[in-house]
Amino acid sequence: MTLYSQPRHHPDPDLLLAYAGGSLAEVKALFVATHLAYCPACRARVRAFEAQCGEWLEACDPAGADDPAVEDMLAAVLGMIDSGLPGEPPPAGRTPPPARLAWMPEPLRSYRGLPDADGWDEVSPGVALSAWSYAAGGTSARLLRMAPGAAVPAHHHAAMEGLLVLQGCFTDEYGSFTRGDAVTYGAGSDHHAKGAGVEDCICLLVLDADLVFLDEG
Amino acid sequence: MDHGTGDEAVAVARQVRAASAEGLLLAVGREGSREAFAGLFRLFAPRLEGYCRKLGADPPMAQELTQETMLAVWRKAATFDPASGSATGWIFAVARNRYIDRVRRELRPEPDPSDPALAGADAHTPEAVVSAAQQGRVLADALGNLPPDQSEVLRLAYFEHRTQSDIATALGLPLGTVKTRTRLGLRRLRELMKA
Ligand SMILES: [Zn+2]
Repeated sequence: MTLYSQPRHHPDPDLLLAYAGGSLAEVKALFVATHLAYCPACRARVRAFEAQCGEWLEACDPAGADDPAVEDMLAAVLGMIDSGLPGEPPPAGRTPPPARLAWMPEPLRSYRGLPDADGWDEVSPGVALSAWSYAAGGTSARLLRMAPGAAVPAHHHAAMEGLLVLQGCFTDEYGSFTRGDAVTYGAGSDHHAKGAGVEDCICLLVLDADLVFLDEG
Repeated sequence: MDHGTGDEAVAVARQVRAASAEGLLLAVGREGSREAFAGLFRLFAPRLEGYCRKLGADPPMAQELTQETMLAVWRKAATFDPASGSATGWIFAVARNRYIDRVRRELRPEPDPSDPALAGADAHTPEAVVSAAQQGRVLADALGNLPPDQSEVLRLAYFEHRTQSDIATALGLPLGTVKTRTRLGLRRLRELMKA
């Protein structure tokens, strides 16, 4: 491993706050969480937001604050503790992900079928999408691979798109992005990503709409 | 608007509560103290229930989530590390993950601290660790120092999961005002992340 450099491009505070507070839907939470695996600074930021949420929780109005109910609940929970009820399934012995994915951090590496799906579908010379994809709540996730110098073909951009670099680097009109960098593009924005460097660039791609490539470039 | 002493009293009260939450959680984690757990329960269970109701859970579900959260607090208390965050934030995160699992029925993707591919856990100089922690403090201070009308819309949006139009109705404000306050608050945080 070469010298570790911290990412320079971070998810927008809107995404970090929504991730910390829990309102962010799963696929975008995967995008943020995988960036966190590369970024100690954003891990600290999320913890700071969680601490703020903890303060807000303490300031919440107590519900049904009649004391007997609380004492009843407490007695019930202590009873569960005493009876050693399993309640929670024991942590499943996670099957180690295949060695070919060792370079990829959690939570992406074990995420929803990704370790079992191999293979790529080429969409243009040097550019491919993973056979694996997962969609929920209107957002989809898949991997995008760009060979050095290969440009992603023009595509409709009706909604938010996010790219997180897992390997290599790519460039577009907004900058140059390397391992761990997260960048999001708003609806209606236009960009032309192109693989750079000497190895294939692999990104986690999340999209708020279906991916539709235009026929003509 | 001079209420300096009132603010101080509130701040002191909050510090005392935070210190007691941390002490209680540590006693549960290190000694398995039932007394400390009961203290945490009385402090947090009614608030957790109120919070779950705010998120839209009906009363039976809010009670169930509260019980499950407190049970998870008992089970996981030994993993709480005061060096890496506040006790109240840790309890909030336990409740949040329960809510996502039970109500939204989604996974909660999180980095794995024991993952060899996790960056920065080992390959870090002490300076880098300190600078990451500073990043957290900078944002915490920024959130605390936002104008109250901005932090209130951020609280409603990100803590109570409310939509912008819902917030406008709740506060009796035009939608545009809510959007402006949200944008200004986020812009401040974004500036600090670039600094
Ligand atoms: Zn970051």
